[in-house]
Amino acid sequence: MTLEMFLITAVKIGLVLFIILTAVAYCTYMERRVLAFIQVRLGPNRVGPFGLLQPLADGIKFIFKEDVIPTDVTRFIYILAPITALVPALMTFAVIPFGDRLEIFGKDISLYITGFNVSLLFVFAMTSLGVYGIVLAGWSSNSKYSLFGGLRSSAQMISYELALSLSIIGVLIQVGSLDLVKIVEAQSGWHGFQWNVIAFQPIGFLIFFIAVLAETNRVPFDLPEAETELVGGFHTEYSSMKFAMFFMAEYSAMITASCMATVLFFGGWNGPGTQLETIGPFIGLAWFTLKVFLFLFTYIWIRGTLPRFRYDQLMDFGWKLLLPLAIFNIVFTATWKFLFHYYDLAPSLPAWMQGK
Amino acid sequence: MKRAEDRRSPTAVLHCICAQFVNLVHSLLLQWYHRRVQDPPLYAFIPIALFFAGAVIVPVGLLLVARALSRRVYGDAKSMAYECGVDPVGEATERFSVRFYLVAILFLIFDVETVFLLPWAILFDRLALVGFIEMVTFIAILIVGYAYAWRRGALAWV
Repeated sequence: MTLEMFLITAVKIGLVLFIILTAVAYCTYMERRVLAFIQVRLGPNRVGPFGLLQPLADGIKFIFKEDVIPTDVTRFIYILAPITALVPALMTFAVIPFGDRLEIFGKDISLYITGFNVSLLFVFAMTSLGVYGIVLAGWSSNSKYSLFGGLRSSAQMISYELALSLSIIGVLIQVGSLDLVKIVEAQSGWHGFQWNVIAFQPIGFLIFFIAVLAETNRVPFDLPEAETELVGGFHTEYSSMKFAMFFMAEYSAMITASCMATVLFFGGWNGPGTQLETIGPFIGLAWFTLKVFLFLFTYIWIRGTLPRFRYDQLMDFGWKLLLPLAIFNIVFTATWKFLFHYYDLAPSLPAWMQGK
Repeated sequence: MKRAEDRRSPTAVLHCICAQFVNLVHSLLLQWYHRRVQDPPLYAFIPIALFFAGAVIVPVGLLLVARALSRRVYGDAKSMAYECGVDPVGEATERFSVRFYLVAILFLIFDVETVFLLPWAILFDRLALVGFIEMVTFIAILIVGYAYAWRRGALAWV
C-alpha cells in the first residue's frame, strides 16, 4: 500500500465517520420533527432556524451531563457495553458503497472505503455483533429492568436475524456474488426495472425491511425499551454520554439498514443521469442519499403510525410467519431462476422478467 | 558411546530450538505476507483495520471528553439501581424463563442452515440441476424439523 493510497483511505475514513455521526445527530432531529408533525405538534423549533441547531445543543448537553454509575454494576463491562454497541454499528460503513468511482484532481477515487468479495458477509457479521452491547449492558447494570430489556432484545434480535439473513439469499441467487459493489452493478440501468425489489425480490424486500425494523429495535418492535413496562429497557441505568452512545448505535444501525436496503434491493447509486460525464458519479451519490433518506423517513413514518406488538405476538410473527415466508421466497426464487434463466423456458418473455 | 549433540547443556538446546522456532514463524509470516496481504484479498482489509481504529477512537474519545467536562455529585440514593423509586428488592440477576434458552438453541440450528444456503446461492448457476435438487431436499428436511418444533410447541411463547 503506497503512502498516497493510505492517505486517501485515511481521509475517506475521517470523512465517512464525520458524515455518519452528523447524519445520526440529524436523524434524531428529523425523527422529532416528523413525529411532531404527524401528531399535529411543532417539535423542536427554537434552537437556530427551524430548530436546526437542536442536535448540536443536545450533543453539548450530553457531554456536560453528570455521568451516574450505580454502585452495584459490574463496572468494567458496564463501561465497555456502550462502546461494544457503537463500534460494530459504525464498522459497517467501511464496506457500504455510497457511489461509483469518481475522478478528482486526476485521481481515480472509489466512493467506498473498501470493497472485497465477501463485503455483504462483513456487514452481517457486524450487525450481528450489535446484540452484544445490549446483552452486556442489560446484564452488567444489575437492575431488573435492564436485565429484562437485554433478554428481550437479544431473543428478538436473534429471532429476526434468521429472517433477515434468509431474505437476502434470493438476491444472492440472482446476483451470484457477496460483493456489494457487484450487487449494485448487477442492478444498473437508469430505469428501475433491474432493481432487485422489482425483479424479483418483492417478498425478500418485505421480509428484509420488517426484520430490519426488529433488528434495530424500532416501533412496532421496540419492546426492549418499552417505556410503559420496562422504564428504559437495557439502558435504564445509563446516563450522559454512555446513554447517548446507545442512541448513536441505534441510529447508525438504522442508517446502515437503510443503506443495505438501498444497495440490495433499490439499485444503490443507480438512477437517471448517472451515465453522464463528470457529474454522473455525483448524481449517483445524490440518488443514493435520496433513497437512504426515504427509508429513514419510512422508519419514522411507521413509528408515528403503528402501535407496539405484544411480546408473544412478536415472537410468533418472526418464527411462524417471516421464517417460513423467507424459506418460501428462496425456493420460489431458485425455481424461477432455474426455469427461466437456466433452462430458458420462455424466451419470448422480456429479459427483465426472466431475471436476466 | 555418546554423540556430540548430547553433550550440549539443556539451556543451549532450548535456545537452539527457540531460535529455530522464531525463524520458522518469521519465514512463515513473510511468506504469508507476500502471498496473501500483497494480493488483493487481504489487501482490501487494511482499510478495515484503519476504520476499526477510527471507530474505536470516536466512542472512547467521547467518553473521555464527557468524563473530563461533566460534574459529579455522589449520593447513596442516586447510585442505587432504579426500581420505581423504592429500594431494590433482592438480586437483579435472578432466574428467567427457559424460553430464552430455547430461542437461542433454535437460532443456532437455523443459522447453520443459512450458512449452508449462502455458498449454494452464490454458486447457483454453476451447480445447476444437481445443486438445485440437493438444496430442495435440504430445505425439505429442514421444513420437517421446523414442523416438528412447531408441533411440539417450541415456537410458542406464553
